[in-house]
Amino acid sequence: MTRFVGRRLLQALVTIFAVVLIAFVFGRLAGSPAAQLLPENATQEQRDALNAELGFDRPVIVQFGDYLGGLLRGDFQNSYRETGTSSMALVAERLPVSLHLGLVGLAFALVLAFGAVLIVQYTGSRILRSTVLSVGSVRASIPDFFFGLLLVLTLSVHLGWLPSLGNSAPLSVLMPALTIGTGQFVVYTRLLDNSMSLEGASDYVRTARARGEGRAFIVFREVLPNAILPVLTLAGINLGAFLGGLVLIENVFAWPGLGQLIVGSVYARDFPVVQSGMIVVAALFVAANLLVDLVQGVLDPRVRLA
Amino acid sequence: MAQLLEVENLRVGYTEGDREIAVVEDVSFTLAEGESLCIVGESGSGKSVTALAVLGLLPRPLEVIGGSIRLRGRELRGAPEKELRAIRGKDVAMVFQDPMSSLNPVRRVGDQIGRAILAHRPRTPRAQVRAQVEEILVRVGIAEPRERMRSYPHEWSGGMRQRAVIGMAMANDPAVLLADEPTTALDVTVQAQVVQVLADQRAATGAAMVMITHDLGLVAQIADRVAVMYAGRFVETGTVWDVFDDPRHPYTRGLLDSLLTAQNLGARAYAIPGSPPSVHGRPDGCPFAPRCGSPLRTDACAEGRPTLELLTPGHAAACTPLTAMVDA
Repeated sequence: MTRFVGRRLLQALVTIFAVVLIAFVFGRLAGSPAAQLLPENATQEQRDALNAELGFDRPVIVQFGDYLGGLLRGDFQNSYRETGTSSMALVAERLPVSLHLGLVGLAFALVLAFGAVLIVQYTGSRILRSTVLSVGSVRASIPDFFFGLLLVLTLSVHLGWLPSLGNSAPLSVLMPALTIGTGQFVVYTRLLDNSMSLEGASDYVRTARARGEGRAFIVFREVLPNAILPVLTLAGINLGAFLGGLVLIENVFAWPGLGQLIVGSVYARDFPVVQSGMIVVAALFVAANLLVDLVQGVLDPRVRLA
Repeated sequence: MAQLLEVENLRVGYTEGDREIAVVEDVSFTLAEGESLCIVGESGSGKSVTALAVLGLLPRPLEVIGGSIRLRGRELRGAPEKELRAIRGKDVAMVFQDPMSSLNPVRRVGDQIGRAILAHRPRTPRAQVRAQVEEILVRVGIAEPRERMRSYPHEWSGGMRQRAVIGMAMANDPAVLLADEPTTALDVTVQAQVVQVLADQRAATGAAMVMITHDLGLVAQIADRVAVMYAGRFVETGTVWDVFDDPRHPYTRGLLDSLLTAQNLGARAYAIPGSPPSVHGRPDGCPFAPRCGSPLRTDACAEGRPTLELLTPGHAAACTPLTAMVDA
C-alpha cells in the first residue's frame, strides 16, 4: 500500500514537471510579455529594461532553472499584470469557484446517468433504454457552448427564471452545471448501461437467480458493484477533457473561475499565472486519478492484491 | 412412489421470424424423492438447457414452448416469477459448471452463501446467518471456516469455490438438486473430492438429483437412472445397468466405445464420425441417422422422428429399427 502510494506520488511529480515544462517553453516561444505590459508608445529601452527585470534577457534554460528553484522554495513568481501578487494566490482565489461548478456539473451528470441506467436495468425496458440514449446523444451532439447559449437565451433572457451570467446568486451555478451535466450524461449512461448489461449476463448472476434472489437485489447488489468499475476508470481519464471543457463553459457563462483566469493570462502573456494554473490543473487530474485507483481498490478486492 | 419432479414433453426453443427453432424437444423424465438421474451427452445436446428450463432460468431468447414441468404436482411452466423465486434455491437448487465465474468476485464468499438463507428467510438475524454459513462450510469440508468466510472468491481455489457453491445450493435443504457438470472445470485430483462432497450432502439431506455430465465414469458411480441426450432429445433411458451393460441405441454405443478404458489404452481412441446437427439443420428423420454406423440402419431411419419406446421394462430407446424389432 505504502509502495503503491509512493509510486503514484512519484508519477504525479513527473506528470506535473512535464506540464510545467511544456507551459514554460511554449509560453516563452510566444515571445516576451513586454509588448502587452507596456503602453504602445514605449521605447525600445523601456522594453529592454522590463525584459531584463523579468529575466527574459537570459537563455531559456537558465530562466527555467531559476523558476524550478523558486518552485522548490514555494515561490511561484508574481503575476506580471498584478504586480506584487503571487501567481499562485490568484489561482488559489479562483480554484474554489471552478471546483464548485465542476463538482455540481459532475454530480448532475452522475446522478442523471446512474438514475436513468438503474431504472432501465431494473425495468428491463428496451423502449426506455433507447429513449434515454437517443435524448442523451442528441444533447451530446450539440456543442456545450451552443447549448449553454440556448439555456441562457431561454431560461434567463426569455423566461427570466435564472440569473444569466457570472456568479452573482446561489442559483447562478445551475445553468453552467446543467450544461456540463447533460453534456457528460450520455457518456456515463452508455458506459454504465453496457457494463451492467454485460455483467448481467455473467455466471454469478445466474447463481444468484438460482438461489432465489429478486431483481432489485441482483441489479443493485450483484451487478452494480461490478459494473461500476470500468465507469470509475473512465471518469478518472475523462477528467482531463472535463477540465478542458470547463474552460469553455466558464467563458460562455462568464463564470469567474480558473478557466477564465488561465485564458486571460495566456492572452496577456502573464506566464507565471499560466504556469501556476497548469500546475494546479495537473495536480487535480493526478489527484483525481489517484482517488479513482484507491476507490477501485475498495470496491474490487482483486485490485487490492496488485 | 409419489413423483417429486415430472417433466413431460418439454420443448425449449426460440422464434426466428415466424419460425420456431427447438433446442430441446420432447424431453420427459420423472424424479422420485432421493433418486438420482444423470443426463449425458455431448456439448450442445441440450442438457444444460433442460436443467435451466426447470428453474425458469433460460437465457434469452430461449423459452419453454411446450410441455409441462411439475414439482410435487404443481405446474412450474408459466408460473409467476415470484412463485418461481420462492422455489429456486429452496425446493430446487442448482450447482453450475464453472466455479471460477459462478461466484460474484466483489462479494465475500460467506456473504454469498448467507444470501441463500436470507433470500428465503429475510428476517434471519445476522449472527444466526453467520453461524449457519460456518456450519455449511464445515459440512462441505472447508477448514477454518470462520476466517475463510471473510475471503473473496479469488482467494479460493477452484475446488474450494465449488464446495462453496454446493454449500450454497444445499443451504435450504432442497428436495431437488440440479448439478450442471459440477466437476468439468476442476482439476482431476479435485474432481473426486467434489463428487464426494456432493454425495455426502445428498446422503445427509436425502435430496434427489439431476446430474448433467459427460463424465461416464461419474455416471456409473452416482446415478440410479441415466438419460442419453442427442440433438435435443433423449435417445436412450434406463437404469445405469441397462444403459452401460446393454446399450441399445447406436449413439449410446458410440459414446461408450469412445471411452478410454484400461483395456483399450494404447489403441487409437474411438470417435463417432461426423458431428451433431445444428439446431437449424436437424434432419427430419432420426437426428443421429447421418452418423449412424449400426448394421440395423435402414431407409426408414431418415423418415419420421423415432420416439422413446420401451425395449424392456424401464429401458427405452428412440431408434426406429429397434422399435420395429420389439414390435415384431
